[in-house]
Amino acid sequence: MLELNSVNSFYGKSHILFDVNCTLKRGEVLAILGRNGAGKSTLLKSIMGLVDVRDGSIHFEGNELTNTTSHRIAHQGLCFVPENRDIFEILSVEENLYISHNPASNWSINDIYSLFPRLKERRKNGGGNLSGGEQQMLAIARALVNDPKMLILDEPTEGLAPVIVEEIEKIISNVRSTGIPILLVEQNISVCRKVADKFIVLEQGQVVLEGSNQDLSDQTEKIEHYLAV
Amino acid sequence: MELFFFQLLNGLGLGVIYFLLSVGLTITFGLLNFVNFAHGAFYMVGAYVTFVIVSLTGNFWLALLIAPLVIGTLAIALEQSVVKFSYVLEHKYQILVTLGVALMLQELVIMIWGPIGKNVSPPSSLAGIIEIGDFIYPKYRAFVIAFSALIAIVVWWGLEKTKFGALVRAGSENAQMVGLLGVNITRLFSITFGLGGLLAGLAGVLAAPLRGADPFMGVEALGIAFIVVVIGGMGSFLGALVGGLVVGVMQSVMSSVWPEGASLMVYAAMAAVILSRPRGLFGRA
Repeated sequence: MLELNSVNSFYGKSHILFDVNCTLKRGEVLAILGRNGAGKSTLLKSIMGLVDVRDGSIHFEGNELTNTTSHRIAHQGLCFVPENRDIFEILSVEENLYISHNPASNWSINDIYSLFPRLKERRKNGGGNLSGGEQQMLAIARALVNDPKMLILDEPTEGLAPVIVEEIEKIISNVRSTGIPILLVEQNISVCRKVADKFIVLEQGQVVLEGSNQDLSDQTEKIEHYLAV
Repeated sequence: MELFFFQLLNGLGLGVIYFLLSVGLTITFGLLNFVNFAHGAFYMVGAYVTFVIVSLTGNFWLALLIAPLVIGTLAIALEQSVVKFSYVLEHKYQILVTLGVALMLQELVIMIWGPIGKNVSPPSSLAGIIEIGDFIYPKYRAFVIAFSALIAIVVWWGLEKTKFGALVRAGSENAQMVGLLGVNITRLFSITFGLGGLLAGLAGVLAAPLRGADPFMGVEALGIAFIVVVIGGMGSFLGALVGGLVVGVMQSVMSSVWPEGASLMVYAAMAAVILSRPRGLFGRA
């Protein structure tokens, strides 16, 4: 479904990603691991058209995405949940969902409310009044009502309490079971073990290790070596 | 007392016109972070289009229907041809670009109709006065207040209760994220700019029978619109409404109490707001 072919990305003059390759098939979860500054977010932003891809190509279901505008990429069903969540604070919870809602989606706003009862309780609240966990749920929910063909999550569990992390793991597995592939940037290996089918490790903008879910357990030491500061 | 009430109503009428004039300016600033010095020209051209339609057909209602659409179209054409290329520039360059456009429109109007203003008569059905007991008030002015209040409600509804309005509000907070939801943000910008122009044009239509159409009314209106936006707060619908009413009522009431000081008081009010609430009465922090 998603295919990255020796992608080279730049922020202005800085070369951030070097010949990154990866593929993602229907129903798969690919975890991207790596230290801060390794290029994980840049990889996601390259796919979403937010950074300059100067060399290489990105295809989704056969369509070229390389250097297309973000809204066209999103329109093809790539739904992005950014690291800082980017909830619209001046809109209510419900409005945050409503502006994203696409009637073709598998998830209606009511489905979201049964999936996240907490969001239903707070639906009239401003997006700015939510806790970190609630914001993360809303950001994921906002992507789900947008009719995703693929979900792209940037560190969804970062800074959240263990109960909420568990809830997010459940949601990820739930989405995966519908066949929607997920690209997941995650620092937490134990989360990856539970939800990811395969993984890549980035270091200084290059893929230095890749493997299956089993390898996440077998090669823990090696992976942790790459993640250690 | 009666005079005061009369001036208060006049002030409300002026205030709602100021609201229509300013709301587009404040929304485009909020959404696009764009400073539009050509905004007053939309108002001026709106008054001239009204003059032309009324002189040709004698039908003010036709002008009320068509002139705002003409100005909205003009605004979108301007956005597509000039404005959209200056979003990335600093504010001072945006001011230079749009001031240039405003002067071109002003000189164009002078070339066609000359520097002297033109009178526009109110529709015959709104000529004359209404009497409520002892109190009399010009029909047309009463119409302006009622009609603009209706438009204010429609604009509020559009911003607060529709998906388009929610996207505009979301876009003023984080345009990139709106794009990531699959919304064509450049088209959203362009439509919003057009609607802002349309409302300024509508203000020009309503003002034409009250004050005529003249080439310099745009510059005057721009100054007032900025005062309203500064008092109310950049990007705020409620700010434009309250700011417009405050400025209108103050100008009108002061003009009978202390005519020489009417504009002074408006600037003093603006200074007081800037000193106590630098982001305006309803501006976001």
